Amino acid sequence: MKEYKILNTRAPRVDAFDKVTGRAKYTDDLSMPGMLYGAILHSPQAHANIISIDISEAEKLPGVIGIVTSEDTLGIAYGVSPARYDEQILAQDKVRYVGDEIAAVAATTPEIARKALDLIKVEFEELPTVLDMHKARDEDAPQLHERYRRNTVQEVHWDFGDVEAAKKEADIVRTDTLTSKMQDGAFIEPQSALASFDDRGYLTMYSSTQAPHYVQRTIGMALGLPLHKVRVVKPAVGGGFGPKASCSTMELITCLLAMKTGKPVKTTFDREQVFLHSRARHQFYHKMTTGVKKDGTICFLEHECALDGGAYCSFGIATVYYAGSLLGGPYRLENMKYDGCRVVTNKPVCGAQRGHGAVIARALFEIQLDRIAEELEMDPVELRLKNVREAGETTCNELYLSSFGMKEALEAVRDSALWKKKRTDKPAGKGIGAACGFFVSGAGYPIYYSRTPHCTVITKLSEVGGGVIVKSGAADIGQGSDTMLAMITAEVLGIKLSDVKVQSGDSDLAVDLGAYSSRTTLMTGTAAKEAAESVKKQILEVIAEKTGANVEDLDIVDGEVISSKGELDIDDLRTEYRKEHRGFRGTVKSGNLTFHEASRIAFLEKGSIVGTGKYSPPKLGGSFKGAAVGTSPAFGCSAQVAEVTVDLETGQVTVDKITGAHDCGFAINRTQVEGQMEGSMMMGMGEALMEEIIYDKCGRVINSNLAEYKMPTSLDMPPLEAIIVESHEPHGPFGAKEVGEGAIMPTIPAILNAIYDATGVRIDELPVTPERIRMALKKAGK
Amino acid sequence: MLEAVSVLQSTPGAIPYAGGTDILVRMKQGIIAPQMLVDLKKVPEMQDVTPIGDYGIKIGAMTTLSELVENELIRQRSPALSQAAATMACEQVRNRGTLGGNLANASPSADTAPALIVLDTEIEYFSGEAMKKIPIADFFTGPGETVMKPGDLLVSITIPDIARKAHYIKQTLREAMDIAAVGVCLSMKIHGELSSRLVLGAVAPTPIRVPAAEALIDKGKIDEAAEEAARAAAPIDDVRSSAEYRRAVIAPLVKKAYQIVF
Repeated sequence: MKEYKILNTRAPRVDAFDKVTGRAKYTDDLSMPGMLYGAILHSPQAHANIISIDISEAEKLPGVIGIVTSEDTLGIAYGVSPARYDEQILAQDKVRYVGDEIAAVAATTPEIARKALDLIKVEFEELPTVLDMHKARDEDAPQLHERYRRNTVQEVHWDFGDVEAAKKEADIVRTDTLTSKMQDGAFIEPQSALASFDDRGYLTMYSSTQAPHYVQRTIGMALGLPLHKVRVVKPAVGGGFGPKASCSTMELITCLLAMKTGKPVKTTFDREQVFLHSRARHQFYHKMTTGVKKDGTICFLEHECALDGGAYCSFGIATVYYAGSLLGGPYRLENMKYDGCRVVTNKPVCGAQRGHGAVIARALFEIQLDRIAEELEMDPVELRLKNVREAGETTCNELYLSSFGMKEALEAVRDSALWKKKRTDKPAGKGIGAACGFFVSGAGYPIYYSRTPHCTVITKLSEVGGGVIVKSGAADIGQGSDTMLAMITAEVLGIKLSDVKVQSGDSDLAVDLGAYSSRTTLMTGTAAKEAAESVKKQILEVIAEKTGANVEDLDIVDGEVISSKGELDIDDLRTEYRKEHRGFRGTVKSGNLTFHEASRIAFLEKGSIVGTGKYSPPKLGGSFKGAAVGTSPAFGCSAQVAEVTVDLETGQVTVDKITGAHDCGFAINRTQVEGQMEGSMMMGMGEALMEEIIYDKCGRVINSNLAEYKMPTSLDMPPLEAIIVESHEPHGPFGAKEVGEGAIMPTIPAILNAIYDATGVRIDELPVTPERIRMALKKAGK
Repeated sequence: MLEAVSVLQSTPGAIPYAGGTDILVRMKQGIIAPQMLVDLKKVPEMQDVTPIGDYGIKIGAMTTLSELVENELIRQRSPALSQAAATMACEQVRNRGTLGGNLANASPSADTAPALIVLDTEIEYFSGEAMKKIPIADFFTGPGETVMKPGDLLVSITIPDIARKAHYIKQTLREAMDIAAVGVCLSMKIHGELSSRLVLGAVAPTPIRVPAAEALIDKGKIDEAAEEAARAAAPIDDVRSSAEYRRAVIAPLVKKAYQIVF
């Protein structure tokens, strides 16, 4: 393997100091002269017609500068998938969930803005509600949207291979179900947006977003502004996990208020609003029938799925496709039938969340493999090893695996966790379980139909010499993409990490589809590599010309220009550089031409030097309907082993350890790869054991705070072991692919399989709380 | 203290304010809108932790939860109280929240209450024009309700000079930042007859003692005692747990506490 100076190390993040000292500026830290504060009136009704909205009293409140209702909008529908634009900035004649936005106020203080909301009078005509996704599909269920018959946004019907024929070959056939609950993203930073609108018609919005590009487009479309006059800037962001990957109603409202009042307006969600806006994990119901041969060969999978996505479509189409398509890997499964539907109910809207669409499907399939292994009296890890795919294979739904360290990952966790010993030799209440996972490394297609490059990067040499500035639209939301871009650029240019400055997350800088579907390292990393290579080439061409060397012989290593043909004649160049820097302290000590000198001289010769890079995926996927979802230039895969102790009397679960291995292709930054793996395990553990949005019968969220919406605390987290597997992805920069989401895939089933190992009872409803375990044990007479 | 009492008694809408960990949250949620907060944190009579005889302690109401966890005297003489306080909220909240606040707030799931009830603690509070002293078991009258009237002030608690061994078990979903779904606290005298005390938290409108179960424990009939305790509970369904689960775990938790104490 090539020796790298910067890549594959544990370089500190470029934003580390700002984050730990509190110097980093998040959207709510920002303010502008004359800035107003926005507040939003949310619907208290889950389903109602709006008869009237009276803002007259609110307008009279001193300090209120502007109030907007649907009358102030253009009435243009928006959403995530262009085929399902079903949202309005403010409710026009109907509200569909408790939290739907009705009106908004801009006032001189947040207190006045909130007080004004109390003075807005809304008259409703209550409508019957439907909160259950199965009932929502009944013929006589209350209808949320005219266009969605039986409240169904999307159905998917896939049939790959020949399931009926495969059924005849199967020796064991099992059917199981799993139901999950809606989850919250529970990022630490609630959404915030600060918008200003100038006299030339330019709108600038600072926002806590994962996807400045999509937000820019949605604002332009819904507010009727030319796209080039809309700028979206992402300051530091405290986590997103998916719910910040689309344009939020609050962002649009804040822009609307800024346009109406002519003043900058900032709106920041409180925690309850984060829960109401949601756009987090759907509720899933899966039913799977899997058949295998006696020797463990998987024959077929028949899969039904229903998704409850709340009141609007959001990402729902992609979610229901992902729920089916990502079972194509990591096993050799040639016959797969999938029938999925995505439903609307009178609840907060679900969208994408880490492991989009695929997490619960993966959980049930991996649970099924364990149940099948038990029936076959086969070790569940051996059953999986028998079926895993390898690099170069294509799945039944036409996903090509260009690199694939699944076997290596599974063997790594098996060995590191002492699987065989712990599986056979364990006291009562102890259990151990394993599972695998599979995920895209960047969605192969944008959300809107386009052949746009997924990202571009512009790297500019500092005209004064010595450094480069990387300009990118990529959104560092805490996952560390700025550090990745800096490391790739520094490696290519042969300079220090500290001499690379990254400017990112601004729609004025470059295009980037955003931080979702685990795309940034592979895609924006490739573009950054290309841009840096271009800059390097331009510098070396100048130096070659000036020194009479061949450009092919030149390289930049450790911040110095070197030639493979011996020493360069640099005396004239150095003299010129020194004359320019009379009075500057510090002299060049190296015998070689430094990057400082070379970059300045290149500028003197050519003017500003800019390198650009872009990433466009190759044509991917099959020709069947929905084939685009699930495609990716590469696929990550991972395996985990969870060890648990269950108190059989109370049902309390203690996770003792999770050992995970993930194939990220190549680790640009080893610490960040481990961080993503650990974060995934934590999030998966929460979803497996604790996290659940709870509604009352009126559709109100009753645990819309971080006290009663339970996630693991640091004290709940067991020791985590993160093993990096590197399979060298040919389509990724330096062989890199995803780790951000794939690593969550095995966590839930590994824990559930361990709980079964400990208790002998299967629980088909998430989260597996002590209560559900205790009741299952009771039912089993234990 | 008298000054605080006079302000509380004479000012409409004034309420006592200790650590603020409950009051501020409720004010921000708009549930309460007091006209005045009377900050008690520096009232001298409500401060100290002082020994009484060989085993007892008097603890001022403004003692923080962190102090209950860390104070050497409390740790030695009533470790169950330290242990119960350590299960509450998080470090930052424990640094602000007070013993008096936790008791006066009278949540059915208050963690300090069971630990104090099993130690036969007495509560001293100022009411009207005089100090009153009552057993803590008589202090709670319902969820959020105590014998104290508006204008009354909880001043201190006294754990009597009797050696008792005690243990508190808190059933929660997670390890920290969680409220008890069920709390079980058991104590026995170290010298002489056992005279055990069993208190259940979060399964009735107030923390409850279960004398019938205590009598069975004193006779060594732990299985029967555990069943008796489960029968005595009147749990409800809420966001944290179902009544059925609460009742189901009482018996195993009583047995666990028994194994630790005896």
